[in-house]
Amino acid sequence: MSALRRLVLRLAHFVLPGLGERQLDRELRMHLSMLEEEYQRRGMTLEEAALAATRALGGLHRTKELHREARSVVWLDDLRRDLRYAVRTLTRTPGFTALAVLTLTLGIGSVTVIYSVIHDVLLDPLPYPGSQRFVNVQVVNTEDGRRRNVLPAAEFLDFQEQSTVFDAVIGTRGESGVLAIGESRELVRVVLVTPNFFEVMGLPPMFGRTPAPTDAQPDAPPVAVVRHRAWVTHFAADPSVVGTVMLLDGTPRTIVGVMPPRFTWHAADVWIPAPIDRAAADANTAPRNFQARLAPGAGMDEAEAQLNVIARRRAQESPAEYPPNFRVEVVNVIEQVVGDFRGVLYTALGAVGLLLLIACCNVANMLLARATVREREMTIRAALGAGQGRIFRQVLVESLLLALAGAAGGCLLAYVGIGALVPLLPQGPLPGEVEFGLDRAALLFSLGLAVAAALLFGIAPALYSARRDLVQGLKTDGKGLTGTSGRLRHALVVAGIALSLVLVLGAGLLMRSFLSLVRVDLGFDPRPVLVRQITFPPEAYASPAERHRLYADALERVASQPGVAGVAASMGFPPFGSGYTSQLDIAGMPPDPQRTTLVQFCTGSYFETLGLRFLQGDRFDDSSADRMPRQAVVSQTLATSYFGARDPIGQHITVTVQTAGAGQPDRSAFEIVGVVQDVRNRGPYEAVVPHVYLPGPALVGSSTILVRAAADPAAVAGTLRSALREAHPHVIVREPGTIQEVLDRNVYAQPRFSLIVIAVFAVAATLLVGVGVFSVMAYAVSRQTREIAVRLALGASGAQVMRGVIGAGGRLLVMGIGIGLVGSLATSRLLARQLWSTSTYDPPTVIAAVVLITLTALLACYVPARRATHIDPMAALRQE
Amino acid sequence: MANEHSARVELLQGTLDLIVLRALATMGPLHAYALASRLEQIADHPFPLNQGTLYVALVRLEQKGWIKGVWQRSESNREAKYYGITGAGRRALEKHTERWRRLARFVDKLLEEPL
Repeated sequence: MSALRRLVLRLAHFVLPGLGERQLDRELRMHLSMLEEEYQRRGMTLEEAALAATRALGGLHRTKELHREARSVVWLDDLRRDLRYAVRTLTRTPGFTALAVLTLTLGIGSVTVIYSVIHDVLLDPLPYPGSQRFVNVQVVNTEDGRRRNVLPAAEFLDFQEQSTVFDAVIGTRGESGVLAIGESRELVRVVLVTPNFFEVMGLPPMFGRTPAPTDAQPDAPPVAVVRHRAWVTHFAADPSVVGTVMLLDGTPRTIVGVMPPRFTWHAADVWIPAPIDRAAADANTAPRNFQARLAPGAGMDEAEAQLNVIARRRAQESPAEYPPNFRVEVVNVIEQVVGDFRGVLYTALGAVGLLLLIACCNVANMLLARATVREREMTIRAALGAGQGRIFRQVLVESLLLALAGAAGGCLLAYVGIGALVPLLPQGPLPGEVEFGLDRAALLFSLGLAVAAALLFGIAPALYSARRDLVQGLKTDGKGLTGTSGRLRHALVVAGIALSLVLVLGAGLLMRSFLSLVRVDLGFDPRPVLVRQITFPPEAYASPAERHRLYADALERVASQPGVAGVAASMGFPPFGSGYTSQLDIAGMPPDPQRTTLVQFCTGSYFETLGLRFLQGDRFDDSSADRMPRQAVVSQTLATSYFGARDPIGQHITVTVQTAGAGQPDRSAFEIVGVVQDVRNRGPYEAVVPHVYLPGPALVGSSTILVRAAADPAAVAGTLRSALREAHPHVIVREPGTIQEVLDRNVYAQPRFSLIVIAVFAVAATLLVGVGVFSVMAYAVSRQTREIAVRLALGASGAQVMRGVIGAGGRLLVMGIGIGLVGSLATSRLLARQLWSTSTYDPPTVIAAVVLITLTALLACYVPARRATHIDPMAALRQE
Repeated sequence: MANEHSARVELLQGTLDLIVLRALATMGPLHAYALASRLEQIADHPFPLNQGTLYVALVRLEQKGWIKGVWQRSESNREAKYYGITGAGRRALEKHTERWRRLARFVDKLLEEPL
């Protein structure tokens, strides 16, 4: 208790320093005068008495110091003094301070932006409590690597009941559903969930309630919970929608609640409670995803071990359920969802770390230069009794102050930076739950970074100022170009040049890679081709023939729209996979199971809609689907791979024909009527595989319509929906856009993001290096004014002086580039995974990077060099 | 010189507190000078530390709440700060005296016994 009281009072004395000092003064004065009186009484003279009194007291100054140490918190006192002195010093040189703070703002702010994104995407993307421990369970066929991530009811319940590692298990299943609102029909994603779902996820609804156990019973009225975004899009963000009934897949369901914006589990638009019942389950009950939360303390290995034991037991009892060699895998949900994005983000972090290092080099350089100027001041302080530790601490406090100011500015920069960066992020890999912002984690990180940076760039100047050589320090007029200080500053500039070269080279490589990516020849022009996915609701047709008619009708209506140059229907669209693989048999040749082809159903107009060229023959007739011989078109690769020099036209081939709803797939024979040019058919970057096109009544469920716009795709896009509605008012249309837009969104977005981020950092780094070189050269010139003046007076030409200055800078430049190139060898290997078709030692890029840095450095040297030539020898010499 | 002083202060810090408490308890409120001269009188040799260290002990004790300082007029009509022991201080004095006696007994015993 007394100790606590003491601590509080000591803090009080620190906060109000004058408090104890005055009282002590009075006491000591009285004490001394009484001592003097006493000694005088004993017979000493006035002076003797005064001296004896002071000695008896033990030294006035010392007593006061001891008292102060006892009554206050000394190191806090000293810190306060250091801070005040640092503020004074820094405000005396506003230009210097501003430049240092701006540099640090750039460095710290940039790192904070990237860290914030990493935190919001990789470290803590989901708002559900315990989300770090969520896992998915999959059964993997170890022979062919195929994964099954849905479990039938019996297996699900066995895993759930017989394992002990999970503290919650939910079963989910995502499906497409048709939401009927008035006259329009929308395709929504419906997710079935076990009744414990909302309790496990742990977030309360925004409006209404979550389903109760009674809602999940088989005879209870059907309910649904709506996602926030779906509520805004389909229900106009009306809170009173809770309690109303919506028509989902023909079933009326009561909306009981709307979830908050970040609740988007399984990318659902609607969640429906549906229990898993072992007794009621049969072959038609859809299997579910097994998603669970690990109990605290349980590990993934333990969970995998347990589940594998259970699975093996089941495999023994019913071997048909499992492949001969299998393994149950437990994967972390967050890892699975955002794992691919990790490489991109950590590369960005590495790049921005380099930027911060360059910033620290610059600031350290500036501080060192200033330390040599202040050498006299520091020496005097040391001579007056300031300890080495004291001076060291004081310079470090200055650095800390600069860093904290940089952090404050950096947080502002980060706020803006995050706002600018988020729209550039590729949307695909990010889960709906992710929310970006400058949160507490980022702010704390920024603070910690500032302290670390202060130590990094502050240690050298502090050590330099605190070292002892009093005589030398007073003698010198702070030339500081030779000796450790000068060498250290040159080393810092070289380091800065090297680091920025690494960054610029990285940006250049990414740019080359990105350009190669977007310039890949797909085989066709994706820009004028719009794609739409259309689904006719089941009630629109009674038989496959009617559905075929509906599609044909829809195609006709679209074709008659203004601005449409071609329409086709197909199972998919290039360059993405648009079909299935089948074994190909050629009449007259022995069957070969290795001879496979991609099979795609489409209308005959497909080829001209995409602008594909026929090398031989022509397209097939759509009507040939119903009569013999059926016609087919093959791709160039198929012709050269399987027919070689022979003419494929007229040859007969047999492939498997899968038509859904027609039971078993069967093998059919086709006659080749045309050979069409290749298009990418396994993605934009995979090699082209053999491809056969078949006329298709087998368009299933939903189909893709391709529309070629004669001129502007945007103009055509507007009219398509209404045209399709004329075919049937309840048609459901999904609009991904043109093929180019699809590629932009799904394929190019991630490399583009990487490129932009690193390019921005590279530009910033180059600027910083320019500033750094400039400041070092300008300082050198100013310090060497006398020498230069002498040289000019002795007859040196301006050009010679300039060459001298630029030569000095050039030496540093060469060293920096050399080190930077070596460093790039290491970092390029890290970057290699993100590069496509670009060697990490790509000569043009390397040369361009070197040239850029060289030009920047030379430009930075130029101004001080010119100033050197303008030195008036007489004036300069007279000054000293 | 400074080291010698601080060494002596370190040794006696805890015991100086005890001495001051005891002195104030028995002699009533005193100001610092009076305390110093009384202590010198009681001790046989000249007081083994400089009088300035008294102030350190006084501020420590005051911050702990074991003594309380009040400004009053002295006999010679000067303004002086008189320190008096508090109730908490008396309790602490008892406790620490007992502790010191036990320590002294223990050390004495050790020094007597042939080891």
